[in-house]
Amino acid sequence: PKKGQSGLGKSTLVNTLFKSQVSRKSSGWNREEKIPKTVEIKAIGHVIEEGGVKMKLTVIDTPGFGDQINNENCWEPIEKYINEQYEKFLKEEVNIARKKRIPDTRVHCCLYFISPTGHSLRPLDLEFMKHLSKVVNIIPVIAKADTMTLEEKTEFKQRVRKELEVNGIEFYPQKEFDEDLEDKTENDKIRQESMPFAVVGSDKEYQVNGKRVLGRKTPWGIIEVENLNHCEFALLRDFVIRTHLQDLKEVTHNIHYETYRAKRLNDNGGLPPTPATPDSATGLSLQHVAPPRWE
Amino acid sequence: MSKQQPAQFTNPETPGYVGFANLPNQVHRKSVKKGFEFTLMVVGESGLGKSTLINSLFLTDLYPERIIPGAADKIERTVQIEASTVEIEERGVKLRLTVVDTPGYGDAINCRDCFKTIISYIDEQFERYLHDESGLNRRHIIDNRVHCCFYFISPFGHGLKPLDVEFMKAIHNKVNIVPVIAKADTLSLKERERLKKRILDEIEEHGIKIYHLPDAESDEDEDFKEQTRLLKASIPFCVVGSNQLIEAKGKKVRGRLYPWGVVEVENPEHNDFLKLRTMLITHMQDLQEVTQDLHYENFRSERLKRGTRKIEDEEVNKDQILLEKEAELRRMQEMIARMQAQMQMQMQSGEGDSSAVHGHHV
Repeated sequence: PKKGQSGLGKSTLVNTLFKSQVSRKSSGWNREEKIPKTVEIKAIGHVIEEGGVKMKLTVIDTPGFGDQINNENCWEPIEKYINEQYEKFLKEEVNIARKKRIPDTRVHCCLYFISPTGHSLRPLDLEFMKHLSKVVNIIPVIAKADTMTLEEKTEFKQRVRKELEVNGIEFYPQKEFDEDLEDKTENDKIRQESMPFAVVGSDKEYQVNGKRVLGRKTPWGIIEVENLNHCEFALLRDFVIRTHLQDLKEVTHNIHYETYRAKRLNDNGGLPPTPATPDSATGLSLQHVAPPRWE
Repeated sequence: MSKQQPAQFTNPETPGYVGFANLPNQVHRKSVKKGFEFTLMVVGESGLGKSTLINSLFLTDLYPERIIPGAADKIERTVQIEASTVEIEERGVKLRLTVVDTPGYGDAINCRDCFKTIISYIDEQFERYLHDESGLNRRHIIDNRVHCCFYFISPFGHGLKPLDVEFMKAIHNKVNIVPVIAKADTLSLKERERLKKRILDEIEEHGIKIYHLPDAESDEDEDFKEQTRLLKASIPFCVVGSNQLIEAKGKKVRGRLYPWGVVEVENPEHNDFLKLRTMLITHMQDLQEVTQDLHYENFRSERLKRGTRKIEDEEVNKDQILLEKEAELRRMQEMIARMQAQMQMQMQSGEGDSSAVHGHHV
């Protein structure tokens, strides 16, 4: 899923990541599509295919996050949604007659879009990530990075990393889950140098040096999305899809989900929960979880 | 007096020449000697490029010892008002420019009380001017009223945010609002047009009154008229600020260097910086006049009306209080009379029994 205030290019980026129209762009908000008064959770499922490999991708958008005058607790609907998916999985798992492959609607990765102010994180960013890094894998992303020069980008990234560290926020890949030295070395480099990825998204193509590239056209030049000298989109894509996709799922299943399960079992006196037992913390029982729309 | 060619009246030897055609020159000399004052307020979330733009506009560094706070520090911060004054001089003309900054605006998670401080500040300046104007010694009234407010809209959004709308509606009757979109280099030309139109639509939809450039007078030359038309058509201005000199096409220009090209601040094809600067300079006088004739007069009449109404209210209250006090007095007198009557009865009936009188507590 993707979180961040409206207008940070989330939909465009997701489309660029999966090179297909998996995210409906709000095309500058028509008159009818106003900024929603509360945070909404919109989940849309897609099936995409590459090289004979099929993937069911669910993109969860959170319009309204961070857009109000009073944004207190605007992360709560999101935290609730994530926990609802864990609850759903748990109920299936403890069923007497359970399915061979439990449908997995758990959130494997949360892309958090940071506004490229060039100054620091916003208080809302800190609060959100503090609360949610404990329940889901968060990958912070600096949106619309074409507004920063190279020096500004480096400085801003350093500042953001420092702020996250000082505030005890662990983004994915979390240090404590590195499995071996090889993982650690690879992930250390990503954690300390590359992240947060400063990206630019685009679904339009232009001709540059004889090739057709995805990019943004401005009066002073064309920004090439997949050119590592221009932005880090290619790094983000490789990281999320080509190298760490499976790991994202495993950490979700083995760590985040297990944490949730253990807490639920504890709350229920060591017994697995039945459909009647609501979750004490969130008051959830399974009546109102809406499955994602499939397209 | 009939209108004849002005040339006839500039020659002192011409019969009928009185000499007051020289008045504008006299006014000009006096104004130049006195210098000009202008107060510009700058409002917008952190990181929208406000300080860079102000520095670029006035080719100065108004924020030399600036420390940018981290997110954790911003959580508890309230909106501050920071005014810095610089005296700029150009070709003998002195300008005393005050820039009022509002750090903290829009940063908090809950921005409900964001504008109270700002509105209080604006009102305070009006109040002070009103007080000075009504005082005995009116020779050196300092005008610290806010003549213009640059309101920064984020280029990253899809238009106005709820906070933008609420704030502008709260101050549009107190100050001239000029909406500005900074960091415009994040937008392509098409995106810029779309965003401008969207913002103008939303401003109209919510009934927000922004500063309107007056149309050029009919006797101005065509160039000026055309310039005014262009300026009016470009609002809100999409600008890029910078004081760094970059080498581009063989010249040194103020700009921003990216791997994909150089954004030139003073290139009208790249952004509206020059338009914004032109507007500010050619309309400084008008901005002051509108502040004086419209916003200040509104404040003044509201304030004076409120002042007299308060006195009337107090008088009405006094009468009421008096009545209430009289009623209470009467009640107490009645109560005492009742008690006295009771005591009398007791004494009369209990004449033989002295202990009863003693045991009777009133």
